[in-house]
Amino acid sequence: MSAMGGRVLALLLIAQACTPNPQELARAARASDSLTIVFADSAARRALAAEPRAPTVPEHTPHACDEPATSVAFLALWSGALSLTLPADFTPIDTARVASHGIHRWLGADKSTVVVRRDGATYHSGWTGSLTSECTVDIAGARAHIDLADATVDVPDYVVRAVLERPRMLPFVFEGHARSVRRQAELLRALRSLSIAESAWIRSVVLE
Amino acid sequence: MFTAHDLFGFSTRTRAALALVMLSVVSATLGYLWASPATAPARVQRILQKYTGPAIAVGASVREMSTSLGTPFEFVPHLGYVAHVGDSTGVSELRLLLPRGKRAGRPNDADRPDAVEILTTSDGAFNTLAVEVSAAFRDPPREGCLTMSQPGTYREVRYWQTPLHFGGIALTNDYGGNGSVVRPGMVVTGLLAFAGRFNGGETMRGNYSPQPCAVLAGLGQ
Repeated sequence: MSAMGGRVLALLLIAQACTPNPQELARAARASDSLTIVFADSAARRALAAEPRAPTVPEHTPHACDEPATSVAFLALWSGALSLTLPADFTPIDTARVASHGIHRWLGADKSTVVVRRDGATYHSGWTGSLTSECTVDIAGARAHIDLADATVDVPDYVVRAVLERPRMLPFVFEGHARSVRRQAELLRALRSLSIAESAWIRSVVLE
Repeated sequence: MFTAHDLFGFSTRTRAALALVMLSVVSATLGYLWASPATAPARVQRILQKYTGPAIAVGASVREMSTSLGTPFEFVPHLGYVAHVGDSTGVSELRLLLPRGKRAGRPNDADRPDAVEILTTSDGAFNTLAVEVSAAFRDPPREGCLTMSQPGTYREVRYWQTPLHFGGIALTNDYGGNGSVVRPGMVVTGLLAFAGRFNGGETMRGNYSPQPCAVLAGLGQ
């Protein structure tokens, strides 16, 4: 091949390389496209994992209307005119002075708490969080409105709160803060066992 | 009549020799341009390196960039190289895009990309980049659109070029009217620094159209 022929061939090769190749471009586009999709999926997964998890309601969260069965041992406890059964690890934490004000408190081994007191409080109060269920039933001869809530922020806080009402009488409030959903079910069961002596209701008559 | 022969007094043999020399020079120049690494203008490199660091440059070899960055690149056939690097969101991707004729082969540390692209999902990235690039080029961008493989999905393209078309910057982002989104509120933004004249799909490595995505999506204009 002459020198001139070689140069012409080189020029042809250069020209061919500079000519767009639709197939090659399509392959590049597919590769870029796939990478972008994978990148977006990966970024979305990371963003989801980094998201602060809002308090969620587990599937086994009890409903306020339930009378959940639990496997733990319950003990019947009395505090003045009140009686209820609580899980066996609960102990009263009232001082005589507090009890004399009609406030009855118990503390569980996991720092779950139960308080029963006379109070004019309304429904859906006493916590900051989301109401998970509510129900109105009869307990201890009174109309009881039960709220279950998830007030978990940093520490697990599952609330069982009930307002027990009789006409023209100051209501009793049962407020339990559980450290787990399972414990919440136990406190809900404890609420259903609450008994209030008639004398206590009579003392709480609202004078008109 | 006054002719070149009269002017220069070249003989036919001399003219043939001159023509041969000129052809050699032209072919050698074209060959050099074809074979030599394409580098982007300093303005383009500066914008790119603001976000990638000085280790990354259009036209630098993969070996140099990998060593300087301390991050291995993965070869992607038909495209180039990709590496995952961190940014404020913890998610960023760096792509070294090889020129036509170089990307179908095997990975080679000596490969030199003619474009570099970074992708991020950082909040507000597109606005930040658009302000930055507009200020650098003192020019409004030209608009286009990439049609993605998933039906009804597009990426908007805005690009700027240097006055003599030695290189430029293209910004891409997910089109707001896409039929499906990976994650609501998340936008994948890309900055592509390229050498040479903007050449549509060849530069963008995609199915490029010089029309707004809204037109392609059948929504307007």
